[in-house]
Amino acid sequence: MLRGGFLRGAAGGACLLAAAAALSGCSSIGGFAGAAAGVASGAVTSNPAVGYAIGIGVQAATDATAKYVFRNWQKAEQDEIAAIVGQLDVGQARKWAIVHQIAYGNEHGEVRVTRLIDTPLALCKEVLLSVDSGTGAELKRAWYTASACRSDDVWKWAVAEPAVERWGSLQ
Amino acid sequence: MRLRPALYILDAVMRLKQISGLLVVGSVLGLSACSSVVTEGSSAAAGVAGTALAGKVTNNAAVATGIGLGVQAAARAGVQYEQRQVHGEAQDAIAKAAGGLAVGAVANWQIRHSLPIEDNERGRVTVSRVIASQGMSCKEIVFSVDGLVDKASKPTSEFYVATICQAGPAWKWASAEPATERWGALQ
Repeated sequence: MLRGGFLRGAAGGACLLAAAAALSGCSSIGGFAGAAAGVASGAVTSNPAVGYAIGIGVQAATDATAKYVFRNWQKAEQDEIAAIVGQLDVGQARKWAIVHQIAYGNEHGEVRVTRLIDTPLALCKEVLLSVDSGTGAELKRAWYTASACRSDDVWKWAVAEPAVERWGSLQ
Repeated sequence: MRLRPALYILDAVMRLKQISGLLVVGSVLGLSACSSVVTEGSSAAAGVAGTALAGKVTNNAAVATGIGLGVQAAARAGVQYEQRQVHGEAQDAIAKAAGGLAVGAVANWQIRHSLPIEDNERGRVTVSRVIASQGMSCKEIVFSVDGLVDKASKPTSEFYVATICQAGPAWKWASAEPATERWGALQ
């Protein structure tokens, strides 16, 4: 009986999750899924702890999955830019663009190599990259600095994590 | 047929315990980089336990859920604090190894964590640039992650660029957080 309710809750949660994902920013997916499952399970039990447990359980699983998926998307973008950086000499610039299979978070811009960081450990490059939005007169460019290093002939994003004192609400 | 509420709670809590237990086992088995699993699993389990406990002292559903959410939030903050502490140890180890190096010199670094929620990693570090100005002394470093302490090296090392600055007698990690527009999937 509980198992049936759990499954029904999960199914309802999945439907609402799809709707929520279409309507909102992705970081809130876990919350929506949890709320949906919590509400759905409330229909089969009047006990708040059970509804809460199912809701929070679904939320935790969804949050961890969503973070994993979005991190992979970000990684694809970083790999794309780093691969271009590998082909450029200091002073050269080229366009970059990332097109995901699901049309969310697609971005494009320009990347310029500003400095070669030649160390005994690895060859790295410091770059300026822009993320563009709009076209023509509406074009807006936001500029950022980053770095990439070569590891076994593959260029990878090399920006290390911030100091833990500066993480704040990052995680 | 309707089960008694106590059985519902027991079943739900046991189920969640199993799930979070699996998550913790999974993370210890080499997924410890996926910190969100540890965070979400631990705080969710705490929240559920909190709600179940609250159910015993109040019949009000909203109050019980509120207590559950409060416990969950506290647990999440606690886990994140612990994760920051542990990761800070790794940053300190690399900064310490690089602090005394001249540009171009290479040193080894390694970290054995006080809590096993992160891998005990090791690698090399070199200084690529000195950034010094009045009253501040910083260095741009390139470091590698070669593998785990006391284990064979990975076939391919990972390389990263960071900055460290001198703070009193010690060298500390000085890379600032990404621009908020670039946080993306970070949180």
